[in-house]
Amino acid sequence: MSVKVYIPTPFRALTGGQARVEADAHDVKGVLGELETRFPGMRDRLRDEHGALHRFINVYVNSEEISELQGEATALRGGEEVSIIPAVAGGSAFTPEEVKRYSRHFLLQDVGPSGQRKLKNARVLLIGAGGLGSPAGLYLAAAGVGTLGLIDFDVVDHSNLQRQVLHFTDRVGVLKVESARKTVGMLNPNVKVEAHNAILDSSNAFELFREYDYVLNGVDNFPARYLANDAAVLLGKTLIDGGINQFEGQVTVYKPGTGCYRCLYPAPPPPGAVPSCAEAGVLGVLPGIVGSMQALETIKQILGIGEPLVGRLLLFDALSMEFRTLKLRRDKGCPVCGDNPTITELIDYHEFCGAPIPVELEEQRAHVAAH
Amino acid sequence: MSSLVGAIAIARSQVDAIVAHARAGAPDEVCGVVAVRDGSVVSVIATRNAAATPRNRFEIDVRDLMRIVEVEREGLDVGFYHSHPVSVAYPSATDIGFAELWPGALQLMVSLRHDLPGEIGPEFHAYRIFPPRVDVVAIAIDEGR
Repeated sequence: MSVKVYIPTPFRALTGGQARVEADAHDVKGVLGELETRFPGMRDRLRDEHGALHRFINVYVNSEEISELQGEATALRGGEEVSIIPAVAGGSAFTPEEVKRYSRHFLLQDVGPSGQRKLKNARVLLIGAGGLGSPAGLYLAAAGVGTLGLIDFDVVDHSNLQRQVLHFTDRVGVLKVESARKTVGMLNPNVKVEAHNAILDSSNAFELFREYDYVLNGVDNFPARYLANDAAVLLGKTLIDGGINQFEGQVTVYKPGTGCYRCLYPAPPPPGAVPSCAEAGVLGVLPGIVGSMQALETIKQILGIGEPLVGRLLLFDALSMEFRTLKLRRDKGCPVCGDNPTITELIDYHEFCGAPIPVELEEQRAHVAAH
Repeated sequence: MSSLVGAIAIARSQVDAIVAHARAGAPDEVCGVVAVRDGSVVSVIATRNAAATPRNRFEIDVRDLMRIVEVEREGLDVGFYHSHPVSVAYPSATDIGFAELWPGALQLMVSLRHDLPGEIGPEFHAYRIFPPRVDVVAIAIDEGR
């Protein structure tokens, strides 16, 4: 069955410039097969590695697209014309809604549309959807960070609401990651939230961290803090670290090769030696300030602007309203990022700490792992 | 970086038709086919945008793609146009990516980002994209046609 085949301009380099060729086949599949045999390179233009027609290649018999007919099994009669037409498509980076939403960013020379695209393409993991993760998550979402990963195992409790601004009274009893997903969705539906309802431990930390560009640390317990630090060092991820206690907070950015938490504190304190928020209390606004600074440092990292808080530890005293900065240096003797590291895999400290944790305290901690 | 390569002549009425299509379709992107003979646009054919998210994507509806074959059957070169309702009239990364399918075709682009009363109005530019290279095509508008 002799049919005519229309070859689109972009494919004519393969047919020696011919716009129309003759083929002899009884169906569309036969025609395409003949073209693939006769014209080297044609197969790659038409089909993917599984042999299916590329999503952006359209085939017509006379004036009808073959998906409206019988696909490649569409039968042909002599004299009919088969046309191959690549899709004509494109688009702009932002919707009109996004252009309005991010207009204050677009005005900034250091951000602009290209910076906003970097934010949109960025993937940030928040460890903990609590005191620090709440303001950080809200501001990163508002700023247009495209994907936020959230890991937390806890449910919203009344005692969280004094500072954990991702959650609301009617969410008490709801999983924190689900509550956070809902709030972020209300604030900025363009943000993709990947919720991980789990405890960060040695079994999942690597797998999880690998999926993200930056890790924002919002934990308040030592096992998770050391685990996050070690996982970030061992994978070469930048960790935007923050911590709070009562009226004081601290922030720093650990970039691979510039030192880590263990350069400051090589090993965790014995369990129970340092009180958590549940034990010591924390002023409500404080995590809002510290978590917001972590969000700011994360955005600076994504955009590559300003002077990052790398090699510096920022200390904040809420009562005196004073900021101090300490210089941090990588310790050559650091057990994980030093010249001769002794820690090369992740450690679950809740199992290995010297002193046993009293059962009551362990339970209490389990409920406040993310402030 | 882009460089100025070649030129295209287009009638004012054709520019107006493309701008009118873009305005009517906003805030969605609109798209169409143009027929070109010897460096002059001879006709403008509006097509439907079948993209799933037309606010910032376009894809000429498969029901309209045969217009391309019709243009070529008349011995004319095929080109395309599309609008950017809120961004610059310059090919986006997405536009450049999809130009792999039609490298070197004339691409007319209209932006409505400054098309509010009292502003400068629609921006209109022409390109030929050889991914990742973008050649800027000079436009001569024939005001009399």
